[in-house]
Amino acid sequence: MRLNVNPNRMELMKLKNRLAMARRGHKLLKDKLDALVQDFIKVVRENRTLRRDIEAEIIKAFEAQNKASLMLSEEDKELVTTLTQQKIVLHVTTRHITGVKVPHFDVHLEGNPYSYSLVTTPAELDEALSSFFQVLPLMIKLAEAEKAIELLAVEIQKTRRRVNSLEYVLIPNLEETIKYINLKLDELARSSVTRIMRIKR
Amino acid sequence: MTTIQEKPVATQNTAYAYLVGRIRMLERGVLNGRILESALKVEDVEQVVRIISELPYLSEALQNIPKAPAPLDDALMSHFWETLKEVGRQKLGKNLSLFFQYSFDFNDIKLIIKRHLAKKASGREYPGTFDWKKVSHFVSGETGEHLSDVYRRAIEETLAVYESTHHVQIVELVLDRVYLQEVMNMAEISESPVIKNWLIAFFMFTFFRSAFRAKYQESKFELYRTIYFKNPYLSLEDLSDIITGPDEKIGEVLVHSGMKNILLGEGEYRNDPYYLAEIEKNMDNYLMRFIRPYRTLTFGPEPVFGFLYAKSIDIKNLRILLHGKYFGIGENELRNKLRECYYE
Repeated sequence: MRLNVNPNRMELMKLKNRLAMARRGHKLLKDKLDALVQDFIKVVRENRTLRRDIEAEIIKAFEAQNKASLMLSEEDKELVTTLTQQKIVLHVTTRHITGVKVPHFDVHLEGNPYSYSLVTTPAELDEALSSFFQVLPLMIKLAEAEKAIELLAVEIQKTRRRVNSLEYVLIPNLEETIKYINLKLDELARSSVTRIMRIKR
Repeated sequence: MTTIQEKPVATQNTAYAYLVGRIRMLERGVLNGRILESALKVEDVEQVVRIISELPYLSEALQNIPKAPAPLDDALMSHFWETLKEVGRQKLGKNLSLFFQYSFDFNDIKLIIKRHLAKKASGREYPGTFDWKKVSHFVSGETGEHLSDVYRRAIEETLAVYESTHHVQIVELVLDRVYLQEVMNMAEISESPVIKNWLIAFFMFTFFRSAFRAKYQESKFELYRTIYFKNPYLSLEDLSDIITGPDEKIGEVLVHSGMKNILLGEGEYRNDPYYLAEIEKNMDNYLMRFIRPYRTLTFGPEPVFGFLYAKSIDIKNLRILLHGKYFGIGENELRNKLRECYYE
C-alpha cells in the first residue's frame, strides 16, 4: 500500500532514508530472531533431558512415599510433616539469553531433613524423604528452564512479528511509495522539458 | 524413678480366668495366614474389606467406611483403641494394656508439642488416655492443669531442651526416651517372666533400630545420646559402635548382645533403608514368635498380652494391605512387608 505523502524530492529523500533504515533494522532483527531460535532450541533440549530425569526421580520418590505410608498411621503422618528442621534458601537473580532477561534460581537446602522419631517411624520414610529432597532442587531448576522457555517464546513471537511487519508491510510500502514518487518526478521532469522545448520554438 | 505404673500385687494365674475367657472370644477376630494370603490375591481395597468381613469384630469396624487410606486407618486405630480400653477396664488388664496405650499417649504428646511449636491451630484429636485440651493448655504454659507426673516432666524437659537447642528432632527423641524408660520400668515390675523378657527384647530392638536409623541419617552421636539412658541391657558404647563404627562392626555388636538373628541372610549389615525395613520386620516377627507359644496357656497374663500384640500387628498388616491395594503396590512386594500372624 502506497503511503500518503507529497511526491517531491524532499519526501523521496526522507523515504529513501527510512527504507535504508528499515532494511538495516530488518537484517538486525532477522539475525536476532535466528539467535533467539537457536538459544530456544538449546534450552528446550536441556529442559527435555531435565524433565525426563525429574520424572524418573519423582516416580521413585512417590513410590518410596507410598511404601513408607504403608507403615504410617494418620497421626504419624501428621507428626512427620508438622515441623521440619530443613530450610530451603532460594536466591533469585536474572541472566540474559540473547538480550532476554530470564530468572536464575540458586537453591540451597540447609539443615537436617529428618525431624521425626527414630523409634516409631519406618526406615522406608528416610528413603522417601531423601528422594524428595533430591528432587526438589531439580524441580526448581526445571521451573527456571520452563520460565526461560516461556520468555524466549514470547520474545521470538514479538521479534518475528516485527520482522514480518518490516518485511511484508513497511519495506514494500516504502518501495512502492518511492517508486511512485520517482515516476511522478520523472513525469514532472518530462513535462517541464516538453514545456521548455515548446517555448523555444 | 517416677512411673505411671502401679506395682502389681502378686496374682494367681487363675485370677485371669475372666480376661482370658473374653480374649478367647475376641481372638476369633484376629487375622491368620490364610486370610492374609487371599487378601493379597485380590485386586482392590473393596475386595480386601470383603475378605476381612468374615472375621467378627474387625468387620464391624470397617463397615460403611469410605475406601480411602485416611478413613480406613482411622477406623483401624479406633478399633484397636477400643480393644485396649476394653482390656484396660479390667483390673488385671490395666497394666497389660498400658504398654500399647503408651505408644498412643506419647505420639499424642509429641503432636501437641509440635503443633504448639509450629504455632498451628489445634487440629483433630487422636486416641489417648488424657484430655487433649488439658495437655495443650499445659504445653502452652498453663502449668496448673492436672497431668500425670511422668507426662508433666516429659513435656517440661522436652520444651526446655528444645529451647536450648532449637532442634526439632529432639522433641521426639526426649519423648522416645521417656517412653522407653516406662517400658523398662514395666519390664522390671512385670510379674510374668515371659512378658518381662518380651519387653526387654522389645526395648533392645527399639534401641538397635533407632541406632541403625541414626547411622543412616548420619546423625551426630551427641543428638542420639538424647534417647539413651543407663540400663542393664545395652551400653552406650555398643550403640556408639553401631552409629559411628564401620558396617562390619555391627554384626559383632549384635552377636555380643545375642541378637544376631535379626540380620538377614549371611548376617552382613547394609546401611540401606530397605534393608533396615527388613530388619524391622524381623524384629516384629521375632517378638511374635516369642509370645506365640504362650497363647495356649489356660490362665495367666501371657495370652492377654499376646492377643494385644497380635491385634497391634493385625493393624499393621491391614494397613499394609489396604494402603498397598489402594496405591496399586504389587502382591509380592506387599507379601514381603507383611508381618507374621498370631495364628499361622
